[in-house]
Amino acid sequence: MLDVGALQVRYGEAVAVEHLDLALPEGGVLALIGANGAGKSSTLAAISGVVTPARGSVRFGGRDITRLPPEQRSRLGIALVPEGRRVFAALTVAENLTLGGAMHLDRAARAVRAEEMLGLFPVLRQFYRSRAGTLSGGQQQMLAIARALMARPKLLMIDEPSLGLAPKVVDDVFDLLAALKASGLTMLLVEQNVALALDLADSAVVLATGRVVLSGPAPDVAASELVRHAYLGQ
Amino acid sequence: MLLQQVINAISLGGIYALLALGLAIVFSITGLINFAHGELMTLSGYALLAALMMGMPLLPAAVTAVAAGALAAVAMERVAFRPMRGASVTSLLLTSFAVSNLLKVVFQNAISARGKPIAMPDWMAGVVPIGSFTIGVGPLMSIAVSALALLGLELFLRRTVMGAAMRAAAQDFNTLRLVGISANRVIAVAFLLSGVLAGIASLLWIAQRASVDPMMGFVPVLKAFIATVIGGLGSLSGAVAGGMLLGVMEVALQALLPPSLAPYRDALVLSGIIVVLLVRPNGLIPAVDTARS
Repeated sequence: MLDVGALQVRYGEAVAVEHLDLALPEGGVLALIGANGAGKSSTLAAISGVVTPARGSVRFGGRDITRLPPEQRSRLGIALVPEGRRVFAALTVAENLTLGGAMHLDRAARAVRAEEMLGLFPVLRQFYRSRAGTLSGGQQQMLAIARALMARPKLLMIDEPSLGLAPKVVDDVFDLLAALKASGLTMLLVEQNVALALDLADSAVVLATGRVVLSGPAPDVAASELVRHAYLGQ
Repeated sequence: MLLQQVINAISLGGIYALLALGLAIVFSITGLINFAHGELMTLSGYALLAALMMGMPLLPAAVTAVAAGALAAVAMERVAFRPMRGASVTSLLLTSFAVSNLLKVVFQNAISARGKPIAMPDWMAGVVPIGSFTIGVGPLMSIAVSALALLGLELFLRRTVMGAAMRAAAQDFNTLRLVGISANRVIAVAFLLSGVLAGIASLLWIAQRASVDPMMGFVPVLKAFIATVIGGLGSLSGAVAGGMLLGVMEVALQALLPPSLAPYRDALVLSGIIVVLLVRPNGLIPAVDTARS
């Protein structure tokens, strides 16, 4: 479903991602692992269209989308839950959800989908008419995921969902991601909690300074010397 | 007498508020302070003149004028500002000065450097008796139109999906694009709204002056810019508050200052603004912390 070939992302002179290859089949869950500055978020930015790659290609569903702007990629079915959640703080929960599906669903279908989201995230129901900025970090993370799911995406990318959340809330978020995986959703996950990420994912790619240093099925990556020492503390 | 001055103050404040809102909508989304906003006003004025000269009745001519302001705003964005998107604040500011000056020169050379009279219907100069007072029809109508425009804008921003998208864009444009909403469309609508507001303000301005000239938009938009700064740059409610405050201050000083001090009116108003900004450096109602692209 997603094919990234020889991707290079630069910010001026600085190279954030150097020659990255990724393949993610439909229904698969891929974890992207690496230290700060390894190029994980830049990879997501290039796939979502927030940055245009300097070199390489991004293909989605067989179509070359390397130069499409983010709004068009969203309409093709790519959704990103950005790092730091980025909910629209001044808007209500209801409005955040509406915007998530504004370009993908008509009014009636949006209402149905929003109701489904409230079923999936019951905590959002009681804050439905509250400003998103008043929610807790965990609730905002739920809202950010719900907003992305409003569009019924084919690929859901999530950047650091556990960042800044209490352990109990992290468990809730990952339970939810596991449920989404079980429903057949294709996901690309960037997560600093490597144990959790590898537990959820089918396959994993380890990045270091913009390059792939290891990739393979998640259990193999988890069992590797590199990951056990550097990320799992074993 | 006092009532009449209050009406005048709200009427003038309302015009400033409409113009300040137009500036604030565009600034909150694009980071551009559009100094060519005044020329949108002027252009609407000439459109009104042309429509009346072609024999249109006042109301359709007024609608034509507002539509011309709106279209011109969208065209201005498409031609001058879109190629500059992502440029620094300074570059954007200089671009808007260039557009502003270019349009002024076009108005001067293609139409006339002098003012063109626009005959307003007699009823607009009439008065409404309220008890032992009389209130001018013009200022009352101006207040009503401003209030309706503000209400319409509020409903648009609060009740429509595009309105929600515009409020979201003011906060986090990149994330809005990630959910599939086109940057071009949101920016075009922001300019469209600013053009509609400039067109309405132009009608109200002309209704009290009965003429249009190439420099017409300059002073009111300078005032509107001051109003947005007092209110809090990028804050919509702040723009309205700032516009109203400025209108009230000007009318109050006009009425209260002895004739010998009258030439100092603007200096006193601006001093008052410095005081406001010393007390509240981010304006009366600061914009929420924004992450602009």
